[in-house]
Amino acid sequence: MGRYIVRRLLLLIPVVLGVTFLTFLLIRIIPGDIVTRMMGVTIANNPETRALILSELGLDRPLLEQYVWWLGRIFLQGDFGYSFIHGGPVIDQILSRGPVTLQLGLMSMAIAIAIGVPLGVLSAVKRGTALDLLARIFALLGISTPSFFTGTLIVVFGAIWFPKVTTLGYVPFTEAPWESLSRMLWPALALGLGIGAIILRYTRSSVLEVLGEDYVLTARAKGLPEAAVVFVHALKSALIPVITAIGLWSAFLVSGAVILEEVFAIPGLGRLVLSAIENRDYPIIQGTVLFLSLVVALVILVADLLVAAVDPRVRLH
Amino acid sequence: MRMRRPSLFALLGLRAASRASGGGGARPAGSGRFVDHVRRDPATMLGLVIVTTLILVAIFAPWIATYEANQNAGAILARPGWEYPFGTNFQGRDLFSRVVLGSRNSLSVAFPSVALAVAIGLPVGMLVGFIGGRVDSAFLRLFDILFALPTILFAIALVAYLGPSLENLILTIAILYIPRVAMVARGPTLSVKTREFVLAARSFGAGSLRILRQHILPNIMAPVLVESSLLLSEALLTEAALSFLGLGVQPPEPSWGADLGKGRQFMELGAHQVIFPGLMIMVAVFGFNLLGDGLRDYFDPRIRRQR
Repeated sequence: MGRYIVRRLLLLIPVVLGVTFLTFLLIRIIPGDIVTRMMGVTIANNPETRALILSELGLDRPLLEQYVWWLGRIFLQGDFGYSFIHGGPVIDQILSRGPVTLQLGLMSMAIAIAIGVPLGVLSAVKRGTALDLLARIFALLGISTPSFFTGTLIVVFGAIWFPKVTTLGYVPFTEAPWESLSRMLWPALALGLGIGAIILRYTRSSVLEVLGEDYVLTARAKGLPEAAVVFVHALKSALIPVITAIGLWSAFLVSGAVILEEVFAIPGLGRLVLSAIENRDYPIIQGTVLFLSLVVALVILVADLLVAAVDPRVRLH
Repeated sequence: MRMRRPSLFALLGLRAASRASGGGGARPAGSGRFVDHVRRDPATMLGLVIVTTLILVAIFAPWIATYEANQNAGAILARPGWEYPFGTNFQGRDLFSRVVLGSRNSLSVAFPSVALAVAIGLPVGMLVGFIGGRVDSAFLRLFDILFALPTILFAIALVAYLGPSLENLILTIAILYIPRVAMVARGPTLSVKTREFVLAARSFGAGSLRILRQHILPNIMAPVLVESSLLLSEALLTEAALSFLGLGVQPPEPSWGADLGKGRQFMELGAHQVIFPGLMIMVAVFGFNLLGDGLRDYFDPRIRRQR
């Protein structure tokens, strides 16, 4: 197991390097001029001042050199650089807004798993019944409804019908934990319903497949009660691929969080990066995407390690 | 390790389709006519009806719409009723007409972007799978990277670079989906290329290009077709999301996503402004999903028995 973990951690390096380099390249080909944004048109049009600012920011050097510089400072000094627009350290922004997005992500994932896994198992075990039909209709509607539509509906009808219950706006968890959780519940629900529907469909087909395997047939032939067949024999191997899938869906979750932060006016990383893209604030975009991709890569890693812990075939492969 | 990771098919709830294509014979896995399958399965029928209706509405939109998209219909924020079935927005524009005309924009982003993704992703995936070895491992590594990326941020950055226009929206969504199509084409290619009929063709002196076109392509079309119909639903969602954020179709052009986003500004004055554009997105995506599920079941008889 130890060797497996080390191998997986090493594999993380090229992934993170690749993500950061892609981001680096992409944001530098976005047109729009940082000097104009910082100093206004008059100064930006003066070639000497312009050159001075560009060299001050390090933007006159070759692209690869800029990249190595940026990465080196992060890993050697923990320095993510400074925002081009307001001058504050990028790491401060990430540290203050990161927990907000993480809270939204974790709560959404918890809701999604709480809905998707049990309903998926039930739907597979009770295949062909009314319950199965209902669960599948719910799943189809869930994957067809954009989270920003669910979110908007919650905002609209929450305000009209239940103004007392649906208090929106963000409160930090550390200040008022209960208040924070209950306010974040709504955006988390909007996001979690959609992902829960995906997990439901996936769990259902995974359980259905395992229920058709020979060893399940054997268990039934031994005369085991159906509950024992499902919970002791089938579920363990059926849920292993579900864990991996949930890990992979965390990237999707981050995308959803970015939009929902906009809908619910939550001051998280999503809104930070949206405004940074608009302002061509490179250090903020780079730092945030690096942070978010690291989180996603780590979640995928944790899911894989969980799978390896349960399934010896994986770590011995 | 890698083998245990679920394929994209699996992630989309399509385990069976990938298995069918992997183990499929020389013929595409579908048996019987699709029409018969549709007749037996009401869900697929519903999907087909929704998608067909949607396409017809988009084609005949100018004749169905009662007002022009940006015409003042004579009442601001009117409630839905006889005169204005979906009500009017804060600019007095008829929402029914905007939703009908908006279908053109949605479909004319979704179809070309998926077509473009397939046109590039399919040959790339086939080649990667066919060559195998190092090329294949390098591709998988790249795919790992793309999977860890928050795609919406990439789409936003790309649209910001290219500028918000219909063509650029198509290009952006296509770029996002190329690796997905390639991944779906790669899997079955890997397994089909080792089968006897491919070896036989090679022993008769068939070149690589001929083998790819004549023997491998027909065998991987089923999963690619299923993936395409699901990508269509996703493309609709992505276009709506980008337009919702103000980065896609630009107002005053009618677009479901943009109208939903705009409607939020005055939503306390009439929820119909967000409900109807949102419902249209839902129904359209629902239709393509049903159709995709139906196609998958058609190509994989095993799943059909399970139901």
